Amino acid sequence: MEADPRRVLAVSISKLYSSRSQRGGLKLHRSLLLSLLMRTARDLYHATAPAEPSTEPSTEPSTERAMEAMEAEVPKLRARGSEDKENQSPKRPLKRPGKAAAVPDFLPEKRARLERDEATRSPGAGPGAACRSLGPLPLLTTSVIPAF
Amino acid sequence: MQWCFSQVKGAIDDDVAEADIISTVEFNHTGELLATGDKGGRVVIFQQETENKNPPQFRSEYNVYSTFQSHEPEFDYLKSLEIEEKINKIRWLPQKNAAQFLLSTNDKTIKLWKISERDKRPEGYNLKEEDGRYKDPNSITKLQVPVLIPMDLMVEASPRRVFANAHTYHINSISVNSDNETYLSADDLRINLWNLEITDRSFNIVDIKPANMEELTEVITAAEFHPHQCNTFVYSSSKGTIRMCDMRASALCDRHTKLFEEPEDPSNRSFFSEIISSISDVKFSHNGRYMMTRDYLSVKIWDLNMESRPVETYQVHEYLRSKLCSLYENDCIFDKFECCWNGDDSVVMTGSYNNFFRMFERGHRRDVTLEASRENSKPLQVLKPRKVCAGGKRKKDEISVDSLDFNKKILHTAWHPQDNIIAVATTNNLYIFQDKVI
Repeated sequence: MEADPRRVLAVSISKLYSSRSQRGGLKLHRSLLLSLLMRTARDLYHATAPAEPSTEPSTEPSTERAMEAMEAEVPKLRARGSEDKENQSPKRPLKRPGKAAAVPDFLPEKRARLERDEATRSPGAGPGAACRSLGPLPLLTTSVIPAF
Repeated sequence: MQWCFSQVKGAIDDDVAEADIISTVEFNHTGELLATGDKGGRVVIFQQETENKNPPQFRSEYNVYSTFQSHEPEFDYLKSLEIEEKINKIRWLPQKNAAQFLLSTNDKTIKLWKISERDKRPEGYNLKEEDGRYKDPNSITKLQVPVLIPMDLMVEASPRRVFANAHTYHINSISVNSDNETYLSADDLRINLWNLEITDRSFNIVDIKPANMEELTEVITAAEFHPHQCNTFVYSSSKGTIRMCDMRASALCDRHTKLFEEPEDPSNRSFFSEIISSISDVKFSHNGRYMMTRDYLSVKIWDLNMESRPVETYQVHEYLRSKLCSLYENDCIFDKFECCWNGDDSVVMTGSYNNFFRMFERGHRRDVTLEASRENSKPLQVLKPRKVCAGGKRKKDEISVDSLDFNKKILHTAWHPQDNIIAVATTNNLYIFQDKVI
């Protein structure tokens, strides 16, 4: 395992967030592979981290917080891809209290939470329930104003 | 076997429009027709010329037969998601009458298209003029029988069925059953069985969605019906396993009949092991005795009677194993390569980077790397085998791994069902090669 776990984590996080704005919606397969990789990188990071006691106090805590924030986000991203809101686990806090100020700036703002809440209100999907075929439309961005 | 350039279809422009990116290639059951789908939702069908006026060493060319817009972009208001029009797969139905039928699918909707020819038109109506205007009834003094007169060939494509609203996740595969009545469609977590005549109902036959999505560990990546046994199908997973299911066993085929899985080689374990073991394509052999799977670095051939390991493994581009980190950063590690068999199941083919594609001759344990490029596109030009230098001293004519162009990837290839004619899709061009007839 020659790749640096921290770099892998950073790249994975940015890929996960950029995939949210991809055309066609979140791809479950890709999100799953990214989250599995991040888990491996996190485990390896935790395994090797005790060997480096406070050598770089400024960068490590932020990566730690990034990982904590990611751990909360990743299951939500996967669940969001599921469209079946009944099966989601009980809500977890997005961030641990008191650490909000230290979260790196490449993590999303509160806007993500708004999108998630808006998605929660849509009816559960089943065949014939959610997807409707509509005629061709002008291209819209994915930051849609919630309908209700 | 030597391969020659035959034709190339598509724009020469280096600046590729995203809509023109080819996303699927498929020959029909006779090989007379070759269909491509693209990111813009269009289907282009090429037809092989039937007149044998060419010299014996040159097989008939493929020319455009029909072009139509299969899928349009859609917007799902409830989920605030755009549904891409990209054609993920095309599958032909066996021909039953004069018309041709194919299934094309995007992420959410499958459509059955009828492609028919019209080469005659009626003339001599009693009540209408030739331009369609009605005649003055008082001017009609005799009765005539309309006759059919030849006209320029017109090929019409019309959507006959639309199979919608059955997939929550993105459709990755469709496969027509050998019974010619049903077909399956697979998304990340579910496989549905359809009757070709019925669009408002489908049966769910596989569902691997966990009760709690946070426990999700694998997704379905490809599925295919057995070519002869109408009760049997297989589906591959992102964990590198293939499950074979028998629809006679139960209505819901969550429990597999066979599980094909090769234990991982611990010496190859890396960060990216899980990603590269994900199977991107599964194809039964024509004789129905084997199946082939493609993962990121290799092609494996499985005997359907042996689940413990593949009978043959071919390394497509092993030199990339040490580059997985870079390939992860530039997203190439997520590329989904397809694979295909030749007509008699003796050779398999798959794509790679730098517009290279690879062929593996099973019996002779021979393999070759060829390139699809405009530089090698003179008529009947024999393709020279290419070689990638993994490290150390690069010989003349070899290309080093670091010089490979990872933007030029061949994901989709197809082999004529009977002849040695292959269709290889680069980003936006379709190359047709044929074997050198001595």
